[in-house]
Amino acid sequence: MSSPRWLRSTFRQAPWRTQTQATSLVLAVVIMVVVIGALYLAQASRTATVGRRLQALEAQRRTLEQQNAQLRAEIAALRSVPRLTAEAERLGYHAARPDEVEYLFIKGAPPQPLPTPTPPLTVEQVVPRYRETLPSWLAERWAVFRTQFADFWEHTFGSGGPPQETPRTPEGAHDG
Amino acid sequence: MDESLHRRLSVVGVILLTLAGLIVYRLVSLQFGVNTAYFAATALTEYRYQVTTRPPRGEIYDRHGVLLATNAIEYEIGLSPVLIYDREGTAQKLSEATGLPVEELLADMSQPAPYVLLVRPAPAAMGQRVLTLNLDGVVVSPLTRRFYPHGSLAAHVLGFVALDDRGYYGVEGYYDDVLGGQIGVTDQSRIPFEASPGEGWRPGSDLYLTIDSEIQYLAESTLAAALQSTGAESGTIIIMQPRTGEILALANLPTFDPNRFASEDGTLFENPAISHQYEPGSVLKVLTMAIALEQGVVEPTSTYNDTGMIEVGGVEIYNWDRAAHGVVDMTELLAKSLNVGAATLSLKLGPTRFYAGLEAFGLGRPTGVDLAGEIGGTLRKPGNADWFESDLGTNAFGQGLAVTPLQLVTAVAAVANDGLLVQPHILTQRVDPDGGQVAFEPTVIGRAISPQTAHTLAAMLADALEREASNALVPGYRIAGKTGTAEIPLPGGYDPEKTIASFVGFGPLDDPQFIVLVKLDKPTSSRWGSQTAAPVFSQLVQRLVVLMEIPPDAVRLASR
Repeated sequence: MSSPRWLRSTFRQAPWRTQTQATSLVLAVVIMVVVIGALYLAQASRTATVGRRLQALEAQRRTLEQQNAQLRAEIAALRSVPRLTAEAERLGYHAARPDEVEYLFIKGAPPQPLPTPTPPLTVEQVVPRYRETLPSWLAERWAVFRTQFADFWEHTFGSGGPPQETPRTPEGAHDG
Repeated sequence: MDESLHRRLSVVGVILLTLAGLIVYRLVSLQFGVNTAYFAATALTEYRYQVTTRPPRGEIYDRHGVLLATNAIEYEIGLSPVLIYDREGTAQKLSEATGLPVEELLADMSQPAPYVLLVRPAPAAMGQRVLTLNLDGVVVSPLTRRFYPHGSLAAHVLGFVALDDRGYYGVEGYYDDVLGGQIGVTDQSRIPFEASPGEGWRPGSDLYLTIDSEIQYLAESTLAAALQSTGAESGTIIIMQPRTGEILALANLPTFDPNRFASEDGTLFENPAISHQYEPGSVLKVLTMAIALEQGVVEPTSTYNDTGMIEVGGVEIYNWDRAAHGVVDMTELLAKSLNVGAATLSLKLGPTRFYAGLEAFGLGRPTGVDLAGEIGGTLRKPGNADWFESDLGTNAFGQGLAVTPLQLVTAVAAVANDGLLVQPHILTQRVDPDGGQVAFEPTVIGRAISPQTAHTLAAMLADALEREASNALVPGYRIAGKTGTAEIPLPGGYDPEKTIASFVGFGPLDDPQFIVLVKLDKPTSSRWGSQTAAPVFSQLVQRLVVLMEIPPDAVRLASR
């Protein structure tokens, strides 16, 4: 069932046409590679430029921060209390004494706030009060032991444990 | 001919293909072979490197935002001789900018070394001058250094930052981690399009202190004048707000300049106000009386017969004047500062209540102040191997125990603060790089005495000063306080001549807003605290009330 001779002959291309097609294909591939390469290079060089600029800006920022700090330091030195005091004295001023200060009261003006109010007392009196005695301490320890034993019994054997005796609280022991 | 050409072309093609195949094989083996890790690591070292970013250290401000410690720039100036073409011209310009001799610079430029250091550290102005010249082969590198604009002001509070960029002593030492921030170590690439900003570092936080720079200057200048007038060899002044524990000023002399710590005497770096202890002497009678009143052993009107001597544990205790004062009340005991009276009180209290009371005032343990190097003083108690029965008597008037100046101020501040013992502190606020703020609230350590006892004792102390017409009195203001003249312990006894003179006082009595301790070591004009430290206190407080804007009692009370 091969195709007829006249059909194959019709579709057979001239040799020059085949060569042209091959050349075009190669050229197309080359152009594509060149375009892709150019795009890549352009992108890479742009990224590199931005990267370098980023590094330069960082360095510039660091330098400017250092210069700002230096200027702040110089201003602070010029405004230092010893220097200003010496300068004021040189100009003939002196520190005000209490009798040279006049206080004026303005009716209705809010009172000068205290620096910080004393916080509420949250700590117990720290002067020790030794109320504990040996019997009370023993009673307290016994109560704690009984509680722990009862918990152990209940945990191990269930609720049907030995009859409970209400333990004395540590506070109770103290107060007693 | 054609066949021969085809054959030769085929051979060349095979050879080229084989070579190309070998190259591809090598590429694949390098990329995926057994030595891939080694080659990858080697390549990384070629184009990647580590950058350590040291963040700027946080700044320190006083309570009003006055800058106390910041970062300034200095420079390192050096040469790369091989990069200098015009040696004569470069040396001439560099000499004008740095002050170095031209001959010396020319000699440096002739050295075969790749780098020659010229100046380190160079002042900021010199570095800037050289930078603007933009000379080939001259290297100018910035160096960050800690700068204290006020010089030695508050040096013991601030501490300093050493060459290793770590803080030592004071706030710099205590809050070194907070101020120092986080050092960042990042990988950087030499390939430009892999460049990335340095990350992983965080600047230090700024700290705002309770210190008032004007009050600090007042304290230091007053102390300097006091040392001169009394002949004392050293001294301490502490000013604190008794209700909050905020330290407004902490001055010690002699002191140092933290900007030049490397050339200063290293023994001056410790803060005597928290790191040195001393026997406080009669100032401690304030606490003895407070405990006695609190425990109900005596009342202000209680009397005892002062015979001039009392024996405790086999040791005879005398008054400072070696005189008998007859029947005296408790206020008179304080006014005349009677050792026999104080020992009588401690005997009545007994060791358990007496020492428990002293501990309630914070003696024998550090106050917890946020400054580096605090010690806890010395308080021997019954049960300690080195405690003797006689200590019960001598401790009552401040001998045989030792406190730091700050401990003493903190303890007496409880009397001014309705009996509450407040932790002294130096920090009010921390400001983080992201703008977050953390405020520090006063901390109550405990209650030393009841409010009633505190008010009663404060009034007794004020009465005692007025009865004696003390040199510590401040015109227009009612002040409570107590003098102290402490003998200085030596091996086997006490120094017969030298003393530590002190005065601690607070005011105004009806609403205490400051407490001041003046301590003078070994004054020569007089050995007594009443004649040396007390007048200094008065002089200082007369200026302090102006700075703190506290009107005189008459004006203030009339306005209520």
